[in-house]
Amino acid sequence: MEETLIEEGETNKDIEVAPALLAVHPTQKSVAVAVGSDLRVFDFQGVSAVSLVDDTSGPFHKDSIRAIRYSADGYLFVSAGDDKVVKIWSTESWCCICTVDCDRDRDCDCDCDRDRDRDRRNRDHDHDRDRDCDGDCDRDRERDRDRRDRDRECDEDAKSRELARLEKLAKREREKEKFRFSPSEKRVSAVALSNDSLYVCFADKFGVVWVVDLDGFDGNQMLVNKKAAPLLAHYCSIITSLEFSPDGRFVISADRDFKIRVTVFPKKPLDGAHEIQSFCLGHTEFVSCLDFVFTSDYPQGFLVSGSGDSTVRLWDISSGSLLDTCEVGAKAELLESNGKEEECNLAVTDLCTFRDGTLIAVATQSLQGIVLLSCDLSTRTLSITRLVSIMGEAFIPTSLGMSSSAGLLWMVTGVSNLHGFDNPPLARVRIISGFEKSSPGDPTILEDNEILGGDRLLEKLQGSVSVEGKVFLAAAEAVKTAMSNLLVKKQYSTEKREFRKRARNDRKIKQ
Amino acid sequence: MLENEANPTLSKSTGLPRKRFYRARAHSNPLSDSHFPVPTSPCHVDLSLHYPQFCSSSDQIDSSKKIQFADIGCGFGGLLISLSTLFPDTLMIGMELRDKVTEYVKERILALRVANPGQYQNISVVRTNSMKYIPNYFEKGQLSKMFFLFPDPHFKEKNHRRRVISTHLLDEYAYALGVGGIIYTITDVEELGDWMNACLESHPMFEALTEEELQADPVVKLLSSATEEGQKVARNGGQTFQAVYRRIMPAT
Repeated sequence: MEETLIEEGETNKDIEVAPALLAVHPTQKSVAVAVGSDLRVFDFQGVSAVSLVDDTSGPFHKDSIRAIRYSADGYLFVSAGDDKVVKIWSTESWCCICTVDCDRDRDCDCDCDRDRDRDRRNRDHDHDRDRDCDGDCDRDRERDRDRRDRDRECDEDAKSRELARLEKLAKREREKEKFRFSPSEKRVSAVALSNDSLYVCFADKFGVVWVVDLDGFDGNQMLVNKKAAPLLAHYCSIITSLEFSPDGRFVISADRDFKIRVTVFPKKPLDGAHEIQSFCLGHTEFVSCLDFVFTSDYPQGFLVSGSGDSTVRLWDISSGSLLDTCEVGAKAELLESNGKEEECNLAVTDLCTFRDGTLIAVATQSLQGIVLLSCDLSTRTLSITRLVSIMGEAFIPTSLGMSSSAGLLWMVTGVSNLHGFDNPPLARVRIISGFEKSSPGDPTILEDNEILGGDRLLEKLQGSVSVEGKVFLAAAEAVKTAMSNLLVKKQYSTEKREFRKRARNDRKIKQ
Repeated sequence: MLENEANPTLSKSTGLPRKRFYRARAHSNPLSDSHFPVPTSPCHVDLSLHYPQFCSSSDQIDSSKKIQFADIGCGFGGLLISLSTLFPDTLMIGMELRDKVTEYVKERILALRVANPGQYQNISVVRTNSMKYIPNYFEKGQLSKMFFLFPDPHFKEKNHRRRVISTHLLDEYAYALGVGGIIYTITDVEELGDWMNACLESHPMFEALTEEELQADPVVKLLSSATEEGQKVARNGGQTFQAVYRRIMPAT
């Protein structure tokens, strides 16, 4: 099964793309955009682009980043993605303080590293003994030769090596033992930080949510040997979003099987979270995004979720009951149908709420702009306030971020790689202003020259100051296809299903 | 009887469906995308389809009438049928992934209802992947008994995730079971028996039943005797390994 998955992944390479992501620092000290494997950060305090420092094993991400997030206090930043690596950054120095490797093969590599060290030590030892060794021969050849040399060595050495081999085997067995409940690690699809910034949770594509404790982190020192422990699991379903409740008591996970699970976040998360508070069931397609609305009157808040069924729903997480449903797709489609007649289900791709407010910004597929919803917490209802469309440019946001302090809504569109375009990963950033808490104005889209940080910000986050507009239409299309390939369940007609079973020999009718 | 003559899949003497017309593969991939309908949430489960007499006789479909027993991977339904007469007022459901087997159990229950008027009204079967859709069928704490009898052993390590008992799935079963509810597992594969016992033992929301409690529970005896699989094991003189645990409040 593993093989077929890989094969499919390879054949789908050209359509498997990652959307651009955006995250804004809680007090807008910086803003981060991830496109493909590129992580771009702009710092507002220094009004400059940030260059990231990563001295941990294997610097930077090697494959598309799928999730980025700031901690609630803004001191930490987490990025993760298809390379199965979770990186935790300090937002003070923008140093990578910890790399959590969730790939078991990678773990084996670590073993090999250690073995290599041992080899090297042996080699040095050998080196001392026979000095005629070529100094500048390349390392591999050297090692080969050492190996040959050592093969000629006495029996004792062979014995000790045999012992080492056995020890290594035993260690691998132990390692296996540890992974018994999770035999294979998958790409990371979502991350979240606990509100006290003590734990980082991340979810993989096989439905397992892992937890890493950041205990002992106090400043900028590096954390080493952080191992992730399994926290909970959705049964073999891609987890699309992870979120902590405002009071930190619950961790909420959403998956492609239409489910939202509310789990009590335990006191000792490394032992796993076993107590399920509720399931929020009602979506009829994959759940794509989660967020909370809460005010000082309602500190517990309510959960809002967006889904492939083109609705945004409001939930009470303690009981799992559905409070209201808002058909966002219908509204978006109305706007779209002016241009062209097309019957399609527009998935909600992202939503974000304004802290201490009841406003929700929603991005949907194919909509050049965003839909603003307002949430009435006393009557527990959602309603569409207005639609902010972006004129003059093909801009379909793939990710949203907000800064309540500045009253800005950040939007990004872009894609990791685009078939037929030989561009580096491109992104386009737009900002809507007018969400100040004190004096809510009319939402207006800022022009590029009105943006704080100006060209320098755009150059960093977008990759270049001006980007050709039509690329992004293709990008949005690619993102849409990739999303439906990844998350929408394949529907086969009965005939087609029979056709797919044609090779099964137990179905041949014996007459 | 006339109908039965027309329908060769029903036995002429008993009116029960004949197994050989419902042959199915022994295993089904629980990881594949399901194409059968799944209720959006527990309130979308239509009990009147499953238990017509229970729902019509008592006009007030009071909330107390909920499914209480779930036989996960019910196979050919032997346990359900034994339990039906033992607990005539308890609604119970079998869940099975293989469609033909589900069809067989459906027919079997219908035939039993015809042959024994008034009986077997409290059992039904549904085709579903219980590893994925337990929360779609049951509310929190709704069940009082769950059965996992002779599940697929899935020997290969890379297929262990397909086992129906695992630490993570037990979280979901603990959610569906009310406090005090009991989970019954039995297998004829020692390795799997150890695995299930270890998973339950280490889970903070389950505790083992004592020997006396096991003796006193009439259901425990049915585990090895009532199911087709259990009878087969007994016929071949095989050993069985059972693990029976109670859902408890986790220590905080």
